[in-house]
Amino acid sequence: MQILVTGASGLVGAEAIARLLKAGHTIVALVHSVGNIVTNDGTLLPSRPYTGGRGNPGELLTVKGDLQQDGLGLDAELYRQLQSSVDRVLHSAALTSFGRPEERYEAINVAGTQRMIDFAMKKPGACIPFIYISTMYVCGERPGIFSETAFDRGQSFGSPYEASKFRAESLIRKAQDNGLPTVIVRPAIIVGDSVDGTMRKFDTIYAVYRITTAGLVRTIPGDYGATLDIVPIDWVADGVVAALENFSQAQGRTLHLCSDQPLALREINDVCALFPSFSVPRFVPGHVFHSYGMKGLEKRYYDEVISLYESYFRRQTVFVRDSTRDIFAKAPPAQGKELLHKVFSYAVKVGYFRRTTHEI
Amino acid sequence: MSLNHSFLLQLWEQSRQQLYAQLGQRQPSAVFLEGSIAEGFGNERSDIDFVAIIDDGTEMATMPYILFLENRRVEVRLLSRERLQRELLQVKEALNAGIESVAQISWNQLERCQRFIGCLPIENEAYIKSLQDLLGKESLGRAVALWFEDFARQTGRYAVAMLALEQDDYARAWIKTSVFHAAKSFVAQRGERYLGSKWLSLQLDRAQVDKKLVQRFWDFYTEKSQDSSAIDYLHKGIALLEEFSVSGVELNFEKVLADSRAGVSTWQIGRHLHILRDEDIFRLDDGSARVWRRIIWNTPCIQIAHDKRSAQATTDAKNHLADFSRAGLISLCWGGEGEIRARQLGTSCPLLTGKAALISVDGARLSASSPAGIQLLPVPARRLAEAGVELTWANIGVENSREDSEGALRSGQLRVLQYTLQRMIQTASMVALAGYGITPQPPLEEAVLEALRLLPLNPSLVEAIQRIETESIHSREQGQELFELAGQIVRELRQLGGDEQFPASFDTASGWCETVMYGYDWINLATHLNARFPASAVGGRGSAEEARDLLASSIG
Repeated sequence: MQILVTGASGLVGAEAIARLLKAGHTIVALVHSVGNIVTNDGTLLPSRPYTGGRGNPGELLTVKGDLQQDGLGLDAELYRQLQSSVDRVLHSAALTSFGRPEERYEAINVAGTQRMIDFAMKKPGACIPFIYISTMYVCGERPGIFSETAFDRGQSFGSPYEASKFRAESLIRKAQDNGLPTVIVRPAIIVGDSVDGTMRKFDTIYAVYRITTAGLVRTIPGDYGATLDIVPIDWVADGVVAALENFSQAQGRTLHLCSDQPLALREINDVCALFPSFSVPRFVPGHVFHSYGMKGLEKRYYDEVISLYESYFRRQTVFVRDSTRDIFAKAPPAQGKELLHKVFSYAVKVGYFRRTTHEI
Repeated sequence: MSLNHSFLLQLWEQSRQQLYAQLGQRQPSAVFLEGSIAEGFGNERSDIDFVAIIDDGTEMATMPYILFLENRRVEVRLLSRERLQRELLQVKEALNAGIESVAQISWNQLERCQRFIGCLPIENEAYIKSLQDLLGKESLGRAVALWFEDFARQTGRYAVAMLALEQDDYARAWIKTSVFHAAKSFVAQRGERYLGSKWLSLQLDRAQVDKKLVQRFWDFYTEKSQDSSAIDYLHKGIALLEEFSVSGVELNFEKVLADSRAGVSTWQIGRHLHILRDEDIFRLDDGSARVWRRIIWNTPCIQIAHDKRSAQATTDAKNHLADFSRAGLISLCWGGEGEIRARQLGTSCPLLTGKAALISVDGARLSASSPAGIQLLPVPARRLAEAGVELTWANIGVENSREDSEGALRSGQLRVLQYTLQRMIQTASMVALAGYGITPQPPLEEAVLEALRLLPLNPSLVEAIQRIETESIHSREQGQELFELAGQIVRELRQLGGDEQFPASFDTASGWCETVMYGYDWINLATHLNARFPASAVGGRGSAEEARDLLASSIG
């Protein structure tokens, strides 16, 4: 198969590409700025530019494009050739970092997804089967069980990122109703691999714990019973590939890539305490927390980073992946505290987590 | 020292009659003599150890029966054929799997196998021989040699680790242990399979080890610390290790890594760091805490300790790391080869109860400064029980060493005497440490160093201890003097910082017996609290059953 992958230089994109190439598929990677495609362990995937038509099995072709422009920023002929030669679309491109202007999320995550839907639906003859990488956190802030069939429950959102992913998934669902064959994949929080926590892109949970473990922010409003659901990148990539390879069975469904052992904040603290250099954050109830009591650097770190993630420290949503198992039965090879320990160990080893001062 | 066969047969016959309740209804399949006398060592004070093999499908406790016959102490053990067979085959299997597996065999098991293979048959030699052949002398010799080789390597590495952390006295103590056990491995390869340490001098002679090498070994072993720097001493030690065919120890500090230990976690309360180690919790002062915060697992200790502010700050950090390791808060590893298996025990700091020891043979002492008739002890119940059991153990160790010393003195075995006197002081130090709630106990190598470091000892006592530790014995007169000095030191260490302990004298049989009876009280409490029992002199976790056995064998 020839598969178009967006977000090819992202974590999920690159890992999925590596697996699909190995399985003999041809990959056309739509990249925002022409650059190298590197897997999570730092392996460079050799590629050549896409110039039209079909490539060879196991070959990686790259084409520079832009989800924020009509026609994906491609020249019309190349757009047409790509559209007619592609058998599947894997749309994993998204702006995932927190703290960016709202319109950026809208432009990339929502409008960009609409452009990809148009690309797939407007192929003359037949629509191109479409796999969309969503997120578990379209669940928003509403507590309770969140199953594969759940979607719009009137939930509020903790960040513009979440809201944009929710709107994008709505577009996918609408396209599905209009005849686009789709599979929606919702991963939980993606962290380093299940073997030793290897990670090349530190973001989200890493950014938060980098600050708290260094003791730069000691107090966070939150509940010890709130849970964070982390999953290893290698397992997520396996899940995405399973969705692609079992497309006809998975078509029309939503797959959950969440763990069987979501981590309560108190368990995360237990893991933090295993590292001598780590401070363990205090979680205090929201109504007694006042960030204005913080001073200097602590306040700055709180306002600029921690506050963006605040909503995650009080959520108690339970994710289930019961109906995902008939497409992708494998459980994460490492999860819960074991996975988090690997993730933290790796971040310490490569110097991402470090105390800038040894004052206690 | 050998005893003639008919005398042994006669002793066995008397033993059998005295143990009518145990042996009247069951016929042993075979009987043998084991231990020092069977091995051709021993002296007139040595015990006579009989073992009867029982083959009736029952599993006996290893508890020995103690008898006094013809002015000799006689111990009789009953051992099932199944157990003997199982343990011999386990050693054989480990030997086939290699040194790592041999190193996992417990000292007690290897010793039981060795004592059996080196035994003197009393009844049914053919039966004994058929069981011995399951392992055989050759294989046993290789297993013993490998066991000591691994121990020598691990303790040698630990010595390097101590030097890396500028713990010079500890480095010296451990390299001594390492070289000593390398010599044990060396003689085991030459047919000297007996495990006990005290006869090494005789084993070196019997194995006809090159006289010059033996002399270099004893010179090294008895060298006084002021004679050379610790680093030179380790160089010499490592050279001897190589001569004794033990490789894998090098003076490379980069190899010594700090790694995590199960059950240890870090909790800051307010501004203060607390380290949880299972159910114990330690508070760190600011200096220790700063070093603790610098630790990155699996990193060379010297890298963690390095402090660009000053050499003194680096030295301080090394001291803290050494303390962390002794307290069992970090483990020391040898780059790429896992934890250094020399000193696994996480001991503790003395309980902060002022000058007097908290624990004595007959339970906890009340604080003299408090008028309260009921006092909450500043120690969890289980820790109290564990320390109490170890205090009892250490006291038994002292008495065993005293007996060995008396025997060696009478027989003029001066090197053996030197060894047993040192052992007597080491075990007496353990008595004192246990009194202050320090449990698990440090290994023997460190017992004296830890007592000097942690306990309020007066200078004359320290000087006397150092004399025993370092003085070479050249004559019986000198041996007699040091024997008396050792007795004095033991008395002082037993009474440290408190009233004279009851019983006042350990020298009388009745006083000693009473002490042992108190040991059973400690065992009852410790069993109730599911406490850790010391398995042997080298530490580890034993069972309440073994503890009772050990006590039983001490009533004399």
